[in-house]
Amino acid sequence: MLKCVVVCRYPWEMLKCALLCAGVLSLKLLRIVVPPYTYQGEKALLQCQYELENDRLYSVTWYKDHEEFYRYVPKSHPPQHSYPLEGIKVDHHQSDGQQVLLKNVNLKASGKYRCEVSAEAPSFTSVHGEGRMEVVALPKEGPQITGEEGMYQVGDVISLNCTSGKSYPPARLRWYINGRPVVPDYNAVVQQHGLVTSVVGLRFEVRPHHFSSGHMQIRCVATISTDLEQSDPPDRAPLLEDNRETLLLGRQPFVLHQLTVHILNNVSAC
Amino acid sequence: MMPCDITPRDRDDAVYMVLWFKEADGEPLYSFDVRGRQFGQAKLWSAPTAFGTRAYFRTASTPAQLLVDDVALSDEGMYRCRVDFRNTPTRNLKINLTVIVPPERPVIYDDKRRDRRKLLERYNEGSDVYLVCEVTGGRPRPRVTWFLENTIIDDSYTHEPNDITTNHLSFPNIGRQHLNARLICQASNTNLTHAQSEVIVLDVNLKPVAVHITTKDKQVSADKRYDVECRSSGSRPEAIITWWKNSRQIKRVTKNHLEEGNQSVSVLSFVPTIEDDGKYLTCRAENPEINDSALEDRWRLNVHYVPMVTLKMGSSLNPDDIKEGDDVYFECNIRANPKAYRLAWFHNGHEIHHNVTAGVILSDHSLVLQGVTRHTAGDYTCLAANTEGKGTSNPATLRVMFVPTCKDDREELLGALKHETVALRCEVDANPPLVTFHWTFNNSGDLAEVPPSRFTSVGSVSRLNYTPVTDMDYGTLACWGFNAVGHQRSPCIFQVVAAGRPFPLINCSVVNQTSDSLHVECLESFDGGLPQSFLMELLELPGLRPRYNVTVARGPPMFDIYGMEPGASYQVNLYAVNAKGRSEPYIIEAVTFKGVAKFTGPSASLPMNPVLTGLIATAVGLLVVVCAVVVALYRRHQHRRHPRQAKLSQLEAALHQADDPVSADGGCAGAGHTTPLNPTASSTGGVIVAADHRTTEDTDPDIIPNKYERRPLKGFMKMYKTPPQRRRKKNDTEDEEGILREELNHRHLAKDIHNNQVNSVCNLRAHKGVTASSPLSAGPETLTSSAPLMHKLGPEVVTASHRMQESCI
Repeated sequence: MLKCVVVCRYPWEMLKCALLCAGVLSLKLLRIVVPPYTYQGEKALLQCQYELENDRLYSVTWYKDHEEFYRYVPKSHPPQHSYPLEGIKVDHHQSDGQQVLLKNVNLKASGKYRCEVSAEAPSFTSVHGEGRMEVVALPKEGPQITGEEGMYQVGDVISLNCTSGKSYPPARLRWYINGRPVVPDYNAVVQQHGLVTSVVGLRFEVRPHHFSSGHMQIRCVATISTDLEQSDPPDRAPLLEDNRETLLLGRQPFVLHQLTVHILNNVSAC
Repeated sequence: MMPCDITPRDRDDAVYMVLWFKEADGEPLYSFDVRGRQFGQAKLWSAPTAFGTRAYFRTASTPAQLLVDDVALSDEGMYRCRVDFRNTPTRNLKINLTVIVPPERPVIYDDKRRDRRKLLERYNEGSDVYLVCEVTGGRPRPRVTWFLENTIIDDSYTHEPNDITTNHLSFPNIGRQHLNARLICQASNTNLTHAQSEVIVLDVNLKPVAVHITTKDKQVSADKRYDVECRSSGSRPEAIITWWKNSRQIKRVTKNHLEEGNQSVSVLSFVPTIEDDGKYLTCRAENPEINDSALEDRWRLNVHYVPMVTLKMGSSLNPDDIKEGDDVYFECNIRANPKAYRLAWFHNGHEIHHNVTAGVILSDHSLVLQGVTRHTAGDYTCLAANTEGKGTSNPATLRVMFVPTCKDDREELLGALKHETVALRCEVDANPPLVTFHWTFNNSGDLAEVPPSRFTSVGSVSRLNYTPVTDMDYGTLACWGFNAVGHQRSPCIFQVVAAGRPFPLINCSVVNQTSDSLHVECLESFDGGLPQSFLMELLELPGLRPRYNVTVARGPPMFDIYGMEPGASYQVNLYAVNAKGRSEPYIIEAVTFKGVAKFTGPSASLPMNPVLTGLIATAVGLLVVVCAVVVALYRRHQHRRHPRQAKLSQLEAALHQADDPVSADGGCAGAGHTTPLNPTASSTGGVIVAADHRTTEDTDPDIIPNKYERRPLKGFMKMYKTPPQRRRKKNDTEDEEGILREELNHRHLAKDIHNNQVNSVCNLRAHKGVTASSPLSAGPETLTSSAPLMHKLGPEVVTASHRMQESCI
């Protein structure tokens, strides 16, 4: 209909436009549903909702990142056809001209999914829609702080590393001393089989003010967010966020006592 | 043309469907449907609202292409080609179609905004070219670039409003190398098609680069024709070649033409004059289109010419006041190139040489004449020579003033009867020729001035009519002249003597003779002062009988006689006759007319037997005796008639007889023989004796003709040599003398006459009469041949014979 409006901009085209718009109530896309994230190893259902109106269907084609992986052509035999694409396995039984079910998705299934619906000849009017899906692998454990030496005196240099568990997307590590964020001295990532381990280092000299309340708390927080790789700054709330942290507590005389507390495992709703 | 790869990934696979979309439009523009069909019969569909019939999907090419005709700007955009395969995943290809609108063809304007395409205007060498290239349209806006041939010379263009792009080209100082160079304005906004361009070809007016006079002779000769060639190259259009002599243009005959290599050639037909020497001949080549484009080549003319020579008399001299004895000089002014190597001087056309003793001094360019005479007067020229030739000066006339002198420096002898008037003409040379005359008369020492009323004078001639009345009136008349320079030094002399018998004819000879005719010619001598006629007598031999007479009343003495009897021989006697009588004969011994009766030989060749010889000798001896007696008688007789003359004759005769027996003999013999022929002469015959006049001088200085006879011999000689020129009636007495002698000695003494110069021989022969006769037997031939010899004897006896004539009067 939109197209019709565009075509009939001019009054002298109104008649032709009216005929066109009235006579050819053609194919239109209603909705495309692509889950924004899916955990590794789970199923993902992709839906393409359209209205054929007076058209007959020629094909429904599914692309991931411009690569076709599934096609539904009613005139073809069999009408379903899927093509191998890394990380994608189509469940033909639960797929048709309206939806595709991906089985056991892995990290490679992340990407932009597009469906294109084409009507039959002669117009072959086509409509398409697309959505992005991220496959997320959460770490099995929380971040770990290494490098503590048990006893420190004021004036000693504390040099620590915080290492996240393997995940995708990579965890973002942040240091806090006594609840206040501090800039890490360095960052590093280690990739392995599509999963990423993040390391951040912290180095500082122990000062009396670190013990304002008689003890000192050093915290490392690991955050996994589906929004991390997307637009920056994020224009909308992350779809998924997973935070884990580790604490080091120190008391005078300095004894660092390690505690591992799983504080949060929040999953934001869509 | 938009490509779309429809090749399947697998071999088994095949294209199923091809759809073309534009931008994000849902509706395809074009479909290619192979479902249920052969590939080649795929169903093609083009959306009528989009390309419609303009599009066609061509699968035959690799990759396949969607061909779109008449692409419009609205066709621009992002296109997607979707290819569905039977077995393999669909392929989506994106094609960005950009529609480029080429610019219009550039237009080139000049600085006056004239369209150069419609203008054929040349640029001058060295000028600046300003051009504007304007390009309308083009999407994207074009780059407008100027090229000189293949090199970019200006790529600074400006996008102006109204969709116009311009590039202003300023190309300074175009030169020779830019002739026919192409200046190209190119407008381009894509590499896909050829750029639009406009070309102008530079046409350049070029200055001449060289001009040469190719025929620069080291020297030229005046007044000769030379073809001088000048070549110029480099000019465009053709150079105009002009010729200049110094600063004046020569507009005469030149031939101009164009040669290969754009050479302009001009040939000047040039005749150098003397005045051109040292001047510059300039050839100037100029391109009339370009100011100050002229080039010149100069040739300094070295004109050789024949020396120009002028001569003038020394400036300190007054040419009208030069007298004999003065010194004069001439200056010869020479203008010559090359320098004259020789200078010569001429007087009346004859070259004169340095001769100090003669007073001729040549130095440098002057001629000095010391002590000029009247002979030095005349026209002088100098001549200078160089390699070109010889030049002669104007004549400079040297006029020398001198006192009068006689035109003829010999004396004139005139015979006159008493009361007869003779015209005396006295002509003198004098400068100035205005001469005043006076005359004197002299006889026997009395000198008298002739009254001026008696003579008339005109210029350098004075005439006096003189009439002797008495004997005392005979004598010497002298004519004196004087002019501005002075008095005549020696007068012109006229001897007026009493008239007498004419002098004998001389130089008679037979000019033409046939069997019956005879032609004899003689020269006349002094007429004795009276009109004379001539007579020829023929005496038949051997008897000397007169047979014919021929008279010629008026000269010249040429005698003709016809109808002669053949076979006879004659002696021919020739006379001059006047009122006083006739002269001695001139005898031609024997003239024979061939015919039946031959008489030439016999008389002469008679055998001379000893008896006859003896007889003749005896006769001769007798004759000598008789002769002596007759002479003695005659002298006595003469003495009575003309006492002075007789006395002289006597002496002469006496002396002569002693000194010159031969002549004496001859005289007698002559008398003897001539007597019958010329009776009138018989009375004088005896006294016609050869005698040396010198003897008379000594013996009788008082006689009337004394003074006359005293004159140097030269005077006589000259006078008698050419009497006919002066006075027709005068006869040459010199030759007559010879004849006289011949007559005297004729026949039997002929042999002695042969040797007359040597007296001893004569004597010998005279004595030996027998031997003397023998050459006689040789005949008349010998005698005639002796005649010329006789002439040689003449001078010895001239005065004698002459005086004899006088005495006869």
